Amino acid sequence: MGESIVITSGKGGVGKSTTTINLGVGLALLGKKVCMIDADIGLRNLDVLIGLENRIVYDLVDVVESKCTVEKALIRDKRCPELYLLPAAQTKDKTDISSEQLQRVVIALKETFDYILIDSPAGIEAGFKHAVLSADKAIIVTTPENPAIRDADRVVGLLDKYNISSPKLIINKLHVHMARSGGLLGVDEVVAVLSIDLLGVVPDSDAVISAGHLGEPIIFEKTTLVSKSYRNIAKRIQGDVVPLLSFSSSVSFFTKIKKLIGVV
Amino acid sequence: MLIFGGIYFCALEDKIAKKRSFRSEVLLVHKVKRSAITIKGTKDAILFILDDQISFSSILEELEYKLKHHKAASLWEGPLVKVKIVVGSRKLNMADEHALYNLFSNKKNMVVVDVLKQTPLMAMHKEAEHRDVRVMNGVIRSGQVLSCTGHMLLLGDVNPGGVIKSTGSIYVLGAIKGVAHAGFKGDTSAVVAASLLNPAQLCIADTIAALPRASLPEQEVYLMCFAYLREGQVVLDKLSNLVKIRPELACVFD
Repeated sequence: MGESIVITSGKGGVGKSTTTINLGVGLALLGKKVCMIDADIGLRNLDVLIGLENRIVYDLVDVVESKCTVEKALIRDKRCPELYLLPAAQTKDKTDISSEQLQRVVIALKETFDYILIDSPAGIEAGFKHAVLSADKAIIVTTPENPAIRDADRVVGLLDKYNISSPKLIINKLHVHMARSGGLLGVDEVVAVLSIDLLGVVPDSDAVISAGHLGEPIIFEKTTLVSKSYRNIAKRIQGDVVPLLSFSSSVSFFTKIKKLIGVV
Repeated sequence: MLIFGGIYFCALEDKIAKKRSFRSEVLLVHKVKRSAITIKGTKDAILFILDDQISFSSILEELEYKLKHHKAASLWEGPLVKVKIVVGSRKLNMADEHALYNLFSNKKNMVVVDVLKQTPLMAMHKEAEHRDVRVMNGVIRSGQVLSCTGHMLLLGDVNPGGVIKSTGSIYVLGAIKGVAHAGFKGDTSAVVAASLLNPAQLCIADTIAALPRASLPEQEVYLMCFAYLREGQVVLDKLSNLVKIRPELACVFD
């Protein structure tokens, strides 16, 4: 019996879909059997981000309407041992399915998968409700900006109403140098406002954008800091204790030496 | 004797049933003959409490009966007594009031000194309810509204977008970053106090104030502060000055 995790944020553009695919790949690389569900019916893009767009035949709405079996609609990502995607319909609307229908699909998938990651649409309307009601746990993605935090805070309150009591937090797109100079909120400040457990911090990077453009999840680029962050988060999801990455490594090697001998 | 015994046993067996029927009987009596006027003695006056749910004409009727024709009407004869009339939520016009005074004027020793909205005891209860401190716990998140009567003590934060309101004062052991509205039913003496007072908006009674946002990191000036109304303006002060500005809000130890 697996567990279903909804990835949500309230605000759009904070990196829910990017987080979903990278965590999906991360968990799959750890040997777990993972299924990602795109719950953003009518605005599907999880398939584009992971580069499986050309392989979609059936989608979530087809499954719900019993036009095909779940197994038939699942698309396997060949880069990982056990990673599947259940794409959203592009021609339909969120109101074309009900929460119970999605719940039934998720329950069926839980039999065979270890993790089911549900990529929630932005907003707090029908699509969000479907995604949240089908999940056992929740991960909230936010950027360290006030509008995103405000929406994340609202979502934490709503999740409590939907009986998901302790969501976990991922702070995405952290501008390390800006947080240090005080121009943007730091990790501690965000956690203090939302007062939920921190699952991980992902630094901002241009590489993420180009990776999404190419349909190649950034987590495959093992050397990048973003990839390391996502790998650590995946480990934390499966229960390992991994310390937070330090982002101060941008300090050059010589500065470190200088510091060591006391020049600076 | 036999019959008496029979009844006795019956009564024992049907004790509960009897009790029930007795109760319903009492209730029925109350329903049919609900007293329109309650008379109470206090140490300085006699209170005539008029039921505000009953028509005024039947009240006058009953009052006249109680004062004149009741078998105990002779009670009212004697030394001078002060009378206070409690009308509740009823609004009296001139004619109504005149009719009331007229009835009492027939009794030479009874002087109507006051017409009250509520008894002193009712007023005290209301006061007590208002002075009650409600202790709340938790984070008030964006989109959530916490509302209460009386004073509010919140153990937790009010996040941006969250709203707390109370009819009395608001005390927060935590940070107010959302909206706080003290005395929302018009109590201008209410205050808002917090460990970290940095609200988007602060309202006391009908006055709304937008505080200058403390730039990050949080300025010390907003730590352990409270806000109150002074000449129609929301003013901030150190929490230690609360006792000077609103001494009635708390007991002070010597």
